[in-house]
Amino acid sequence: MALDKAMERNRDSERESGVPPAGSRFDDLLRAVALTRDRTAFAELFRFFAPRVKSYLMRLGVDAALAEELMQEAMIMVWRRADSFDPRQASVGTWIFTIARNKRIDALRREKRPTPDPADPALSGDPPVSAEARVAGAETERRMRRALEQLPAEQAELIKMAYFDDETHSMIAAKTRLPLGTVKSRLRLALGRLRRTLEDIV
Amino acid sequence: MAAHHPSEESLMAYAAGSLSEPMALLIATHLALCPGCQRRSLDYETLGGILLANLPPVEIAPDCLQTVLPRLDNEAGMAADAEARAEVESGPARDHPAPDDPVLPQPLRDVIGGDLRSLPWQWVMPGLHMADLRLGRPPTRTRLMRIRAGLALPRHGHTATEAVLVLAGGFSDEYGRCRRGDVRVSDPSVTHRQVIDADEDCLCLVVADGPVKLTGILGTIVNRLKAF
Repeated sequence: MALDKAMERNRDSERESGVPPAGSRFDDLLRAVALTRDRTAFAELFRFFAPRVKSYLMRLGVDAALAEELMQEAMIMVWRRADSFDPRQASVGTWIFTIARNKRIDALRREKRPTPDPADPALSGDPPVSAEARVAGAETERRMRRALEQLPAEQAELIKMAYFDDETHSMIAAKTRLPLGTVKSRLRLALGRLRRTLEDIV
Repeated sequence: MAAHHPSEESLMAYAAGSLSEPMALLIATHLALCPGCQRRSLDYETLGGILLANLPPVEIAPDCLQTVLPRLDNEAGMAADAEARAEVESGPARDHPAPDDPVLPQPLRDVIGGDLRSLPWQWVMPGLHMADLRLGRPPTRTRLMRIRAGLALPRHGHTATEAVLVLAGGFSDEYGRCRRGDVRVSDPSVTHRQVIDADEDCLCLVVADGPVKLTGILGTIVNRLKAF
């Protein structure tokens, strides 16, 4: 009974935000893609993520035609790399986001995005984060969602704007009609608060 | 363990993919040396995933899924993908036989190769050499800087933002001590005089949006020499 109610609540929140709950469903679909090459599962992931990946790319200034092309490439990569998805490291949404992000960077630079390699012999100091110490990707996502919810609305909004802005934040300054310095200091405050909130959430 | 870290803003911009290539390289190299910042940057990737899922969907081509489905198991694509994956796993094939220098974390090695000696080092002043990595768009310059142990650099300011990542050795100035893995960002309000640690040469990755501005008489002389 309690479970039914919880599921009901889940469906309600799904309707409200238009976003399905993180975690299990996408995990299951992606696992089906990885293990049994399930095209129906892929189609469901595609229906949710493809229009949002394209939206993300266009928001960053990629024109519609190229955004469509890069989105298709990103979704094909989701199919081909499904077996490398590790739910301990990231949620499905996060994983697909990084694929789309790297597609865009590759298209801009024709070079690989610099990323640290955990097996790098040049690493020194602290040992790399072990698999056991890592929180599951879905859990990290849950905490980040809660931290965002707990932030004052205008700080959350600023972070959302800044995330899809370039590093100069001049777009935000233009939109909010605030001096650039003010935008930067407010963003610093908002991120500091997000970080502290995130660390307080258990 | 690093004592000086990039700002939360830079970690977020790195995760979002909006940093310039030189700054992305500097941050990635720091992350390779700093598990704490690596974790924080993963939090921002998580944020990216959440924001992506919350974006209003845009219209995609109506036959899009039908176009994509036949491409999924396209053999040429799979082969290219397997190759790319092998490259990611074992690092890009390199044609230089020199052994990889252990001082260089992998993101940096991917850009400059593994052999420091093969870089186009230029003399700047006694005890200080720089190599331009030819990365990024002007006025930004990406350079490695090698400074002799014990050297005191002339006092200088900055005409624009400059980010420094220490790869070997270390230095001290009015703001504290920096060693391997530390990131120091100086904006035009910062004037400092760095003294290199006495026991080891210092190697730094420097991403600067403008030249330094030397102060004092020695500075005036070096400014002239610095036509490089």
